[in-house]
Amino acid sequence: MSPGLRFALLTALGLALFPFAFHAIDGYAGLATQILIMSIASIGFNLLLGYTGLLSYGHAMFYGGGGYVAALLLIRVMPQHPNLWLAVLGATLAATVLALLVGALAVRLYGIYFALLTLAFAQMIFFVVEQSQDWTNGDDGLQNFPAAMLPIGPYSIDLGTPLPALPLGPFGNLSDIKLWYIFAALVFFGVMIGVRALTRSQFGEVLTAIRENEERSTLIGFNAPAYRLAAFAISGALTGLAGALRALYDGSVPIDSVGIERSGSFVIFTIVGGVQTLFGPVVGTGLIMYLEAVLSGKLDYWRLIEGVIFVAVIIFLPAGIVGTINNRVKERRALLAASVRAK
Amino acid sequence: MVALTQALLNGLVLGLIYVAIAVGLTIVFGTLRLVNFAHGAFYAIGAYIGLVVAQQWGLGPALVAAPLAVALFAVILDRVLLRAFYSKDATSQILVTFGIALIVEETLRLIFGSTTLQYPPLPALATSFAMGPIVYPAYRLLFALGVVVMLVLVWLFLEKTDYGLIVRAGVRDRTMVQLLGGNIKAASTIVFALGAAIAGLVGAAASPIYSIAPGTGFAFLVPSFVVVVVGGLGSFWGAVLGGLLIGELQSVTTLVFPPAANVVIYLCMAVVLLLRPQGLLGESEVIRQ
Amino acid sequence: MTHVSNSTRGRFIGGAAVASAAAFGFPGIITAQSKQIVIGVNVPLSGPYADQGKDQQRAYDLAIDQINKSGGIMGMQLKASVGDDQTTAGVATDNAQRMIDRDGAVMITGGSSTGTAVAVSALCQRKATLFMATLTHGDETTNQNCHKHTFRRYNDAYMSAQSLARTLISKYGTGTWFHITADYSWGWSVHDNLAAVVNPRGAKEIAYVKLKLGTTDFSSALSQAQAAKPDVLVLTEFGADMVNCLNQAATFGLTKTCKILVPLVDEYMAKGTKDNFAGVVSTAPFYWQYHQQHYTYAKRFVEAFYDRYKAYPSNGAETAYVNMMVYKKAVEAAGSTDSAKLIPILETMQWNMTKGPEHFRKEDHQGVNSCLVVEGLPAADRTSDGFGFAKVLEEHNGPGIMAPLESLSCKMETA
Repeated sequence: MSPGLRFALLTALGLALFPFAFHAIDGYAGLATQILIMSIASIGFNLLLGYTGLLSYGHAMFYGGGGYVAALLLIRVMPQHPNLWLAVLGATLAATVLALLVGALAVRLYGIYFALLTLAFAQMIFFVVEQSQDWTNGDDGLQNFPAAMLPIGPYSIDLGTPLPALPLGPFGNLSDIKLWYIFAALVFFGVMIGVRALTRSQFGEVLTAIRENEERSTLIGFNAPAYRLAAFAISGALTGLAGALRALYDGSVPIDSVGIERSGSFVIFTIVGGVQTLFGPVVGTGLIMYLEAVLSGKLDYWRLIEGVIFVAVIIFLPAGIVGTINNRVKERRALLAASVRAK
Repeated sequence: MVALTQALLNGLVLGLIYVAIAVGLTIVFGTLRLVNFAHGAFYAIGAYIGLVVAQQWGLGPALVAAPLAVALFAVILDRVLLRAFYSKDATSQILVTFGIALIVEETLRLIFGSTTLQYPPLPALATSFAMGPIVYPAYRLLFALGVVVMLVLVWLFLEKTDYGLIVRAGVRDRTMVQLLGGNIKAASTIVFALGAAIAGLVGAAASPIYSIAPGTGFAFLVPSFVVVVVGGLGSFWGAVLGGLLIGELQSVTTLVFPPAANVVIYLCMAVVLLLRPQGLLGESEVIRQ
Repeated sequence: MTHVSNSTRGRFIGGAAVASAAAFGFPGIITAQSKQIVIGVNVPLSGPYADQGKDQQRAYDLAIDQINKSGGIMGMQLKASVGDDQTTAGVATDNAQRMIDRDGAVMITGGSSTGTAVAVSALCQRKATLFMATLTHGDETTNQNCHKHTFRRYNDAYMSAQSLARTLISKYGTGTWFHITADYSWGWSVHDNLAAVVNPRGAKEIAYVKLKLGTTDFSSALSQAQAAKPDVLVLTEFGADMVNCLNQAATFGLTKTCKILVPLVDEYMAKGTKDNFAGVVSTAPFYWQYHQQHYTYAKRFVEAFYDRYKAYPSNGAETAYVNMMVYKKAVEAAGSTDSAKLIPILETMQWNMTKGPEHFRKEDHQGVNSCLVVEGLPAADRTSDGFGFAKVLEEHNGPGIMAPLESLSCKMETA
């Protein structure tokens, strides 16, 4: 079996089992869906941080932007025939355009200056959204927009429909799962396959080369800013896609979806899971969201725990959870290979 | 005309708060090359300690206790954790200080609760100062004056002491100063503590004006970064100029076209970053990290 | 927080289980797992309205304990899943979603802002879960964004404006009005209602300054007011924001130079502003000192609350308490916690508790009850604990001060 096929099969298997295994540890299907959706945003964020080394402190502008555009398309453009495809595609496109505009200016900067410029743009977007009250409803955010249907061929599918009932003991009931989970899992699967291919393509290799040594890459003839801009645009597009999905899933777009704390959350998710790894952002997103959803009901101060985890990871596991595991596995293999050779 | 004068006064007070927070941020960056996202936390800790002490013993002791406590906290933080990050890239510094800011915010919530706290409306605080048609709260004017005095003292420290020399030299040529070795460690601790103490002092002094909540630190941190960027990372006078500029810009925009009051400062920040990344008064240095 | 359900999984609990399962088309699959009704208590425990949220939580705890001690509802014990909505719409909906999905809450209640109420209301409608809104005063909750699953007992801004108008015009005359308003649905609603009442009667609005929820520095708005020299300064701010705003207004000398109007007040806001609130006119749906004199049920509630917390209930706490008691009555009448059965009961039910006879209007689910116009007392004339903060100028009664049905833009769903 080729590594690519094996990766695809394992991912698909994981997605199929996830909500049931999750139920056994006090998770619930709605949260599983949200985790997949937010993971897409983190994957997008990691594409930028992991493969260009650029830390964006403004990814909420793409996330929230995607959400607002999706909601506004439903409210203003197609209230009679709310089409989920069009809302999601329109929102993703809008996020991509925004990322190209901001990126065109930002990719010339590095480090703190890049972080602060993305923060500045995100704050501008936040306050513009907040003040455009006729469109965005200001501080209250958007709710009450038509529930989008997913047209497939002659059918129009309501993703809120649950699967048929089938008790599964400690793993819950099949009917806990709504079509939304399946839809989110399919999109997630597509994103995973796409991002894996991208990072293994020549494009990914050039990005890594630029990150490691920009001068040398430029001398070889690569247009570094153009590559970074492309990475920024794809990153923004994925985050915008996630924002749109979350808005449609939740049926609301809060003002905090474009806020600075949302930008910070992508940083936390990705760092905890592990930058420069495929599954790191997913694990980080899942872990933090799970802790939030479970601990917030039991402990008043789960956010303190979240902060401690974050700092502990930075200090003790700078490669993140998945990155550290990957490194250990690699070391083991190297040791094993060495001992085999020695024999 | 009265409205404009009042707006300029408001802008001055707001600007001076920004300056006072940004000065610490900027000298720490200038000397230690540390991007400190936890700087706002120093303000918040100062504000809380100030409020508690002020309720017990009055505002005077609060203005002494808050900066001392914050400086102590900063020294411990520096020794235990941050020192290891001086030599790392800006991204790692942002991450670790952002994490510390989260922990401080939540710890404050744990100790003082989530409720917004504020000074009781003391008659002494309610006095206003009248000059013709312009009436202005006396405490705000006093506060502004206090910040100016403090800035002069900080400037004297930077200009007239050996530590100040190291700070100024560090802004120009970090490697050179590092080669001097020895007392630079002590100097960097003092600089870090000083930056924190200033933020703590301002937090305590501003608490009769602004209410305090666990998130207060972040709320002030973000505009302070705007100030530092506009003025120039690492520059003392840059922070002063940037703070006053941003304060007045925000205040006058609020008067003229309120919906743009917040957008305009971030627009200003973005324009400076794109056209003059070293800031208005910053030393031109290599922007690459 | 000790109220979180660990033993209940899934959405359908107790008596609701069979009925709801049948409605969803899986009869008999989900069976009653435990004798428990989970209620989602979604209140601000942080942010500018935290004092109000905490007081609501006290009232919920009291109501739930009282109900459980007297045998629960139809033999089932109540259990609260508590969340801090941080006065933020996004957090409030996240919480409510968790309470429903994770803890199996069959009713969501609480809240201290129209922004969060409208957002939670939309979510509860999608989730077919009952929402008994608590402290939300903007019209939207039961008008523009009304929903079949949402009931609001608290006065709306229209009622406050109508009540104020009757007292105001004689007291405040018709001079120039300067509005400082919280910039979200509640503030807009209060401003529009007040303007609609006083402007046609000759009041001249000279400014309408909107400030973000959680603003800490009101100086720019206050100095504009200072320069404009209005006759009336309207501070449409709530919770800690109002305390901050009024106290800062005093430092600008405004409490001396103009008449101040605060459209909605509660005990904690009055305590925080002390003498700055003296002489300020406002409205409140409930005032413990007043209502306990007139209604024995109110007296019992106020005493039980005081016994337990050594404090008097604010008006938000009173609505929280009554919401629970009304819910109990409705569930007992319906014989089920299924929202489809409860809604028709709530739409027609009458109750006589803390404020005399009350009901929800069927057309918009707005509570029909009274509104008080109050005036703040100087600190020296208050009760020593500060809770007795006002004198009641007038009590206005239900239907007469409510938005006429034909004026509503509420389009209620059928289910």
